[in-house]
Amino acid sequence: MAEMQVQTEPPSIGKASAELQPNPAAPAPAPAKAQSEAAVPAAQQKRGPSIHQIYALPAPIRTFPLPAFYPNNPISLVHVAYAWLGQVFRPPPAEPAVIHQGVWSETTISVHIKDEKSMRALWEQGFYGKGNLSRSEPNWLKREQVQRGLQEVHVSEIFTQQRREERAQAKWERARLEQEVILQTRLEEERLAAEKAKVVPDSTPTFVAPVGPLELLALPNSAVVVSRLESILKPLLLLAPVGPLQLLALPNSAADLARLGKVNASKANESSSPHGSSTEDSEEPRTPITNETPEIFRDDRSVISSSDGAGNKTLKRRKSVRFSPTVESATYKASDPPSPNRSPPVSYSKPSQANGNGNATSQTLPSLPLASVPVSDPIINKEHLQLTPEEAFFLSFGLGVLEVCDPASGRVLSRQELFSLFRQYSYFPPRNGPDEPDLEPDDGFLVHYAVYHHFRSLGWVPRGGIKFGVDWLLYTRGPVFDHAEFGLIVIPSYSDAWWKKQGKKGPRKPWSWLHSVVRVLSHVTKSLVLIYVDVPPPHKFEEGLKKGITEAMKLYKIREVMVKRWSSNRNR
Amino acid sequence: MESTKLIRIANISGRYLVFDPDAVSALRRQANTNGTLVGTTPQQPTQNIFLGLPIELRPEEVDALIRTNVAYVVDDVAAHQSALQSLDPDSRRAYVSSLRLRKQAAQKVFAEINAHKASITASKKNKNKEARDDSSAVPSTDLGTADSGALKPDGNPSPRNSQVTLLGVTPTSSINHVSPDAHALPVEPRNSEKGSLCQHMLGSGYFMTPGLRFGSRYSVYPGDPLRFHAHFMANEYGWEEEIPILDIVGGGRLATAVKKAFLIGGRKPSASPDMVTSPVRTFSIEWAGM
Repeated sequence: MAEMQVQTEPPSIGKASAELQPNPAAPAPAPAKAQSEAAVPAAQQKRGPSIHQIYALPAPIRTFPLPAFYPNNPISLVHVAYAWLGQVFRPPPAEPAVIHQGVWSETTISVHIKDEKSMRALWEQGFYGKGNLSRSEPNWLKREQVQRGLQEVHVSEIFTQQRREERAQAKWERARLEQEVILQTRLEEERLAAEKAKVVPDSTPTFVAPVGPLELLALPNSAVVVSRLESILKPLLLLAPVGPLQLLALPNSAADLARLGKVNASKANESSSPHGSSTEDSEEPRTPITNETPEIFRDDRSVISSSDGAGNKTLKRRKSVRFSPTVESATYKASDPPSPNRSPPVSYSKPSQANGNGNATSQTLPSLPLASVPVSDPIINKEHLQLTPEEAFFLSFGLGVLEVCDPASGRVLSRQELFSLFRQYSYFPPRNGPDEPDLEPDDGFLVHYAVYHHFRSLGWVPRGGIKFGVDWLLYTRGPVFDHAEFGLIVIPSYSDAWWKKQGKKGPRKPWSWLHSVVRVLSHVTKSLVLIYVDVPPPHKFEEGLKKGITEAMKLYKIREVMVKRWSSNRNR
Repeated sequence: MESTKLIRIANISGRYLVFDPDAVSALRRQANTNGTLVGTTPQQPTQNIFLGLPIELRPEEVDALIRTNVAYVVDDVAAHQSALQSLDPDSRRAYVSSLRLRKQAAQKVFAEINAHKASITASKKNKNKEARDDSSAVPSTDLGTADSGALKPDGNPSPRNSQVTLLGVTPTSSINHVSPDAHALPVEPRNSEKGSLCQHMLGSGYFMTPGLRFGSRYSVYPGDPLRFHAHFMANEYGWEEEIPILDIVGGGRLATAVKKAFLIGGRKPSASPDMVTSPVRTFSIEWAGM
């Protein structure tokens, strides 16, 4: 059980910066030296400073502690006196010295930071926000420079992309080897069959076994195709199903046994097979398909991608083995059609984002005004930092280092306005109209902000955890130092007597949900923490809100429950 | 394959059980339903991989089976009680005498076993005593075996392999008296859209097992689960139900990590009951960034 602590308005010392100052009772002024250099994008130098220097400050505010006084060393008293006098006569700027400017964006429900210095400062001092063109750190510019050969630095996104390409290449190679083995056995079987055929003279037309990769791909994929083919081709010869493909093509159940009837193994006539149906991996086990549900199988392997969803339906990526007709094009791009000769030429309306090309990605984004920059020009940073409502409100209300403007009027929103704005937009659709229902004390923003503030105050770095299917990820120092150790799931808890009388209950989730979450997190070696937030009843909350946001937020209580698998062998 | 014979599903305390091995294999071969083996001995529960008949079916599976006219459900408790209570005097007498016979047979077998054991221990003791040159205990053990032999009535000792059925004296068993389709529950068409995904998948030839260890309701197999790996992890949602985005991300991520696809689906509720039911819509989700 941990009670949440809410700080008052201009906190000169953030709790998160407690480890910086050995003497927390001395927020006295001192010579502000080397404070502004942290805001400079230090990583742009060739050999940048170490991450411990770049990310030295845990919060975007400064503290000026007095030097330590040692009773056995009288000179230290002089040092203390000197520093104190210096702070008295030349006081450092009042904290927060730098107030960053953000713009509320209604479409993305986030606060955008466009100023480059502010972006770097908020990222380096506490890991706030996310670059809109990057995975987390706003490093689009750096990436772009690296890709144009202007810089030689490590960029994690490029690194990841390389690794993925290598992995895809390895998989492709493996699949190719498997296909070769299959081909070998087919050839062998064909040879044996030919020997047998020599013994029994037949009068059937010459039967060419599908041996080439293209012919293999042209084999019918589904029972639907087979039945369509059947009408075109007359069954030539009834061969016993011996090859692996024929065996796999055997019907699985009685239902499609009747439909398949007598399937001839020699259906692989390349010219008569309709295109587009042959892209699936031909070593896939055949499965029963009824006529009503071919679309299930079409959805089966396709990647849900937003870039080519509406326009061109024929271009669908599948996890399939691709055979290139020539040796030179052994590599393939993600935007290539699954098998080159089988898909019709598709005119690309948009550059595909799947390739991860920074150029293409930036041009497809409509939200940025500077889109038409020639390549030879110096690169203009097109990236901005996005803060979630919780992060923005913590920076504004908890630390006081952020001002959020309304995009239409340019007016700076007050904290109260910001509070209700974020609360309104935590509903879907947002409850900002006049006839919308009232805001409740258990809306998503309040519950999540209580959790966010709680862990920020304790010195953790919470970041959004949607990529792992959780609400928040908890980093001990920050994403550049270590992996997140915990994934948080926030659950509102209605333990107050008033809620009980109303019969209000928390979300009911099935066991399979818990299994899913735990299993996803254990794949990435994190542990699940369920965060129960005790929601105050509305009348108490309204009373508290009249006195101020701080009083209202004090009513929220937070309980942490860690879910861990207990194994008798490992916990002895 | 006798597809005409309906399969009897017993509904006992809210669970749907199939006891007949032939029915189980028919379900598996023809109706894509394999159920979950739940049978064990109450005195010595076994691990779940050693469970045996009966199989338990999920309610939505039963619903689908009824709709496709493969099976019917029997209220087994009511059938049992009415069968025992409504016996006519003759069959009642026959039943009681058969019970008595079985009891006697069981007693006989037990006595025989005891005698056998006693003789074994006696011979062992005998050997020991003989080794120690003590002969005083021999007559007593002889007496003991003689006593147990005296208990044994004349006649052939029953063969060993029939002991299992002989010993299974369940005094209230009504298995010979319940007619198979007595107390069949009426087939009421359920209006709810729940279970429509299961029905849809079964109808299109998929097999389904519980998907709890993959964090979903069903794991969906393209054929018999003994032959195939699962292709999908499926969850059913109501048509107007809000699906949390975290569930989609987590489910898609987990499914892709175990080389499956995450499948969600549901049926749009039909506006009027007499209308043709709208088709089930399904979507499969894969995690692309892996």
